[in-house]
Amino acid sequence: MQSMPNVSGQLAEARRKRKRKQDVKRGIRFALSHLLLIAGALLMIFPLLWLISSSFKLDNEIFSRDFSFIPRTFTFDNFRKGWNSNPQYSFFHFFCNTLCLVGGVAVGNIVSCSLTAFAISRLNFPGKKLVFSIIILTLMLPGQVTLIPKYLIFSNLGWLSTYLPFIVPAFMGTQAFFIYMMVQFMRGIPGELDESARIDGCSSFRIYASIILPLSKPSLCSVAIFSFIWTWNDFLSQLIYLSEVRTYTVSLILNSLVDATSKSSWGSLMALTLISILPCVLLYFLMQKYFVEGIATSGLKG
Amino acid sequence: MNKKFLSTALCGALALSALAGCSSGQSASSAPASSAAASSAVSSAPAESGENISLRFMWWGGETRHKATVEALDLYTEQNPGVRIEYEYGGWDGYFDKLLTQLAGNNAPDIVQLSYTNASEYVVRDQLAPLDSYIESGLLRTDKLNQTLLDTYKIDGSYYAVPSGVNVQLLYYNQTMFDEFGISYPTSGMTFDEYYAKAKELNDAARAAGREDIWGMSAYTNALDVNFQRVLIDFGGQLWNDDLTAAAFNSPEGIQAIEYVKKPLDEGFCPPPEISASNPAGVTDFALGRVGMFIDNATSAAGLAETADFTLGMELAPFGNNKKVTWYQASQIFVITKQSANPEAAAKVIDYMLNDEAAGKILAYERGIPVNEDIRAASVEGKSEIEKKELELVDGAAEFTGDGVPMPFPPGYLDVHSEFERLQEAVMYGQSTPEEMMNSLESFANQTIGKFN
Repeated sequence: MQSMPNVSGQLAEARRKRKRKQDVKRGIRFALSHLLLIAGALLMIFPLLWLISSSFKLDNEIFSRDFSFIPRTFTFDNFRKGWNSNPQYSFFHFFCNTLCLVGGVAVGNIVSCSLTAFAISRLNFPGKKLVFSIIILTLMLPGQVTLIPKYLIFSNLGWLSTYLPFIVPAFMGTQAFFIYMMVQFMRGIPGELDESARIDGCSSFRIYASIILPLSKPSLCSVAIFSFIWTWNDFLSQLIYLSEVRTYTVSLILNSLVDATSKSSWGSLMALTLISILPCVLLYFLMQKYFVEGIATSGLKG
Repeated sequence: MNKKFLSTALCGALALSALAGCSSGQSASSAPASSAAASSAVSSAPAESGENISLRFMWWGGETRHKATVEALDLYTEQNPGVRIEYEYGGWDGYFDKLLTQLAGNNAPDIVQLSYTNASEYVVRDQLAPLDSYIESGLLRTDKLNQTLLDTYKIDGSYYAVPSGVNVQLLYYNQTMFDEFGISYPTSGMTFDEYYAKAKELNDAARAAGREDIWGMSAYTNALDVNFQRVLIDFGGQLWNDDLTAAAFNSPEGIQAIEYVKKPLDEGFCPPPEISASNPAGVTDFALGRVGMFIDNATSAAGLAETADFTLGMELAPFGNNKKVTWYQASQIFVITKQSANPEAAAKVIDYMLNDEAAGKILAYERGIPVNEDIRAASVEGKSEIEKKELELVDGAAEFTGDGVPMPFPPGYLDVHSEFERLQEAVMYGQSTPEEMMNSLESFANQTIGKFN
């Protein structure tokens, strides 16, 4: 009789022990996986950290052999020098140029791609399938193939050294990827909604503006962010279409500071690069919630 | 709410396109410059030609080159009120992609800075304007320029480019090291053989003193058009056939030249390639104090003097054993495109860049050492001892030019140049023989050049 509580006590003790063992095991696994993840994250973020620390260093320290993340002499000079590195305009001018260009492209993509996607996912018209396949087909066309013909067209229109070659096509719904993404998203919105709206007397445009558009907010955000970041980081088409320094964008100005055949001031280059990645980072953090939702629910991976 | 969103979006779009439209209106004035000039000729008759001319000038560079060039050109437009110059500058990356697209779109700038090696590709495609008439009429003065150098850009009997600056090969030596081993300094005018002997002497002295980490000289490798061509010409060979349509270096002389370049390595008085390969990027064996002598461009002098922790000496690079293979190389070149509507005005701007005293002061050494002898002489003012010596040597090289003349560059040269460096490295590592190298380089070169014919 006496052994009974003893036994149950032993059992409980064993159970507790086993649990503790499991806990320890889980703890170790947890610690290990986190260590690995942290190491991976550090590896990924290293270039960014290097950029940040270099932008506060003196030129001769950036590539010196005894490397340290903390600058030996902490200087803001790079920012001041970099800001005025262009002989004609301040960096602010180019920053505004880029914002103008990127904003125009983003608005254009949002308006045109959502309209196109609405037509393809919601309306019925002859040749719809064909139109959609043609749109998707343009995705397969490498950009280099159309580079010269496009340049000739814009050159003949007198659009070189303006932002029209970027903004006008954006308003024409030329970004097939965004259209595809939005079509996928809009297909997930129940059709009963627009049916009942139609019974209530809504026109197609009203359905688009009052029902589909608000419901597609997450994917609209994805389109906005994607077109913002892609255009912000674009180099080749800006290089080709913009030749007057007055219209240069941030990426062109950064490039103009690097020269293989003469000395480059790396410090100010790093400082300007740091400034130029801020808008993208900020935008991403501000719209992160919608962004993930937008890609996840349209069944696409960015 | 939704309507508001849409309407703001559309409004924004409209505003932006209007904005872009505005800027297009401003820039449009640059394209039909001639019509604008015609209409305004009545209202005012500025300075010289009496018309408003708009030019576009394209170059690559870094921050300091942009600043100097813009300043110099601003001064030009101030002095010549009838001329407007648009600056189109950028970095090296994408420079030629942009230029080629512009040329294809018939929208190229008037004046373009090119690499000193690639003018002929543009000539073959009929994209550059010949400069002969401007040189003859004195619009583009070349009398203070080195004739041998200028002739490098004579293609099919016409001049197509002028050098923006010059370079010459100098022999740099580590005075501290020579003093340490009690060996007399190298001098200007040595032959290659004497140079090798001097290197061997230093090397042997170091070994005798128990130093295994010091060598007599750096390997004289790389640059196909300079290093290799100098040795090749000295042996009596030539790089290309006379009309630049095929390689001519795969000859007994070519193989001799490669073997001669490799000799210091075989005899152990230059550091093995695996040692040099371990240097930090951009730092030479010479800068690290590992070798006694080193041949490099004159423009490296200031940089070497700044970083070296030994006393730097310099002389003219050794001559050939048979010929005084010395010549001026261009640092970059200026050309005028065939699409230019105002080639005379463009020629005048180039003339200003090369021959104007004030421009020379502003541009300083941003594109190599000034090509104009007078400006070069004037540029000594206020310079360091090292730079004075450098200029003195560069000037002094003039009397030896003409004996052993480099060939112009065939189209596609840059690709052959890189292939040469790659193959030569394999030879230096002992992975292939000079014969194998010459054979594969020849077929590569002929294929590359053949694409343009």
